[in-house]
Amino acid sequence: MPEIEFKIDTETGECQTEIKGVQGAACEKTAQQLKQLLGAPTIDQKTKEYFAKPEIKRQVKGK
Amino acid sequence: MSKYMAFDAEAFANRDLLVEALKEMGFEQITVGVDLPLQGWDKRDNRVADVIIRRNDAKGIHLLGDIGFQRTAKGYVAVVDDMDLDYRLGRDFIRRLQTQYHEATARKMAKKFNGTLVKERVGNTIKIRVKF
Repeated sequence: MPEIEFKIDTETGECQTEIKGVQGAACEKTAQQLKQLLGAPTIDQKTKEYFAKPEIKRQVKGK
Repeated sequence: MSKYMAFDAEAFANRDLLVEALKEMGFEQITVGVDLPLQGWDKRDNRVADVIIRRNDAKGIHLLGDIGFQRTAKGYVAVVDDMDLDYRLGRDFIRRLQTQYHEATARKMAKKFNGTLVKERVGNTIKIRVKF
């Protein structure tokens, strides 16, 4: 299930966000919407999950 | 896919969320306009702002001057009297406002995506998950 996680540090005022489970252009669009509301981020990076390729299972049929 | 971002600016990008955050902090009367003069400031240092809490509207807090937020290229930046920060509002005023602003952002995103919002607090961290 797609989600956006916000971690707000009440001591420093910093907010970290992570967009999870959103594919391709939709992920960038969601990030853009967050930037419109929160301003320019100090850190902006794609996580390992972003680069993960979908696993394709090969099935070999026996003779 | 996944993306990580961090935000720590003391400028508030969205006016409506700023107003919502201020209301969450207990300021009920908020004046919105363009380049409105701030009252209670030294006449030699006239200041203007676009979002204002008039000192008379801040019930229970005897402010020396209005609290203003002036629109800049980065967003709305606070214009607050130093004495008010020291003796009335607290030096952590902006940090508390940032927290309310970020929570208001999470609520807006939940509404936008017609999602659910789960909030939990662990120590000094508020964790909000918006599922959609």
